[in-house]
Amino acid sequence: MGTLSNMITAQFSSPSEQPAAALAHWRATPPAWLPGNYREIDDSYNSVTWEWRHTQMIMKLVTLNGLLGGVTCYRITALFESDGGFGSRITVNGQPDDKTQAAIEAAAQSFQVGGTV
Amino acid sequence: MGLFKDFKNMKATADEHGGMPNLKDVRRDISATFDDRGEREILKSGIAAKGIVRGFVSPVPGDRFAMQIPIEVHPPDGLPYTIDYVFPTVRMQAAITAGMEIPIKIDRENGQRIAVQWDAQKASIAAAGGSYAAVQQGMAQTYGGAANAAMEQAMKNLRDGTGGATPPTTFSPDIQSRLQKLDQLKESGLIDAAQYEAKKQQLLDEL
Repeated sequence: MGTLSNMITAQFSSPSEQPAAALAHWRATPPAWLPGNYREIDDSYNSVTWEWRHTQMIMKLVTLNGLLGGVTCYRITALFESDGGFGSRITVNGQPDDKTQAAIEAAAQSFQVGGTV
Repeated sequence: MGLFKDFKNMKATADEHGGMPNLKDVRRDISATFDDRGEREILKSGIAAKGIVRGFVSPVPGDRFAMQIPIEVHPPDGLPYTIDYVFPTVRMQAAITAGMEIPIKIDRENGQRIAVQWDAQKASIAAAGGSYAAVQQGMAQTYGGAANAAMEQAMKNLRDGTGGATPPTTFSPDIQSRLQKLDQLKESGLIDAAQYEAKKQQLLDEL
């Protein structure tokens, strides 16, 4: 797992699911470390991307409720690949908020398979 | 004094690039820089598919705000086809180079129009171990070991302070890659069985 600024890359695994099944699973039931304010914005043949557009209270006041900018865009993508056997290797990559980053790191460090699985 | 010097430098640099633009041209350039060329719409409503990069990014003649790269499009239902993907330079967020598998969306109305899913591509590069590793994998897919060996040598030369000069190296793809390419051509119907056999024998004779 590595970090650069608030960019994060973490690895998970789902030994009992093929990539397509694991992708469908994560889309239907996002991992526990992903806060509810993240919304799915995109999916590809092997990935799903969530986003949270957030405006801090002070910025709401300064920028007329975000009308003049000040919105922070947090994004996380989960990529699903074969682990070479019957399961999946899942790479989580993106720029989440600090709290979510900590949650992802904790989940990956405890080798929580598939985050929620 | 510093400000005047900055302006002088700016003018000298701009003169080398065709002169300082007037306000109208500045507005036009800003507009062109942020022209999405319909990619947002394709990403929103297009068909998710896989693309394989078949070349390298290059400038588009006469268009300062776009780049182009050949992509083999693999629609979910249908035969693969190759397009010259022209995209706004400002959208490029990750490496794409020959041999890489990339996530794309295809316009539902026009299969020649696609958009790269850059967030997914960034994740794909992270999964490969970073840009350098991803580029190497792609190059190996296309050119076999020869290109990687040359790239490794060039990087080593740079690290060793020898100016990046590479020793004479053949850049022609190895036999295995060329045979695989030949298989692909036969499978896609671009060459017939006789042409396939003749070329295969020619490659094997080179061993």
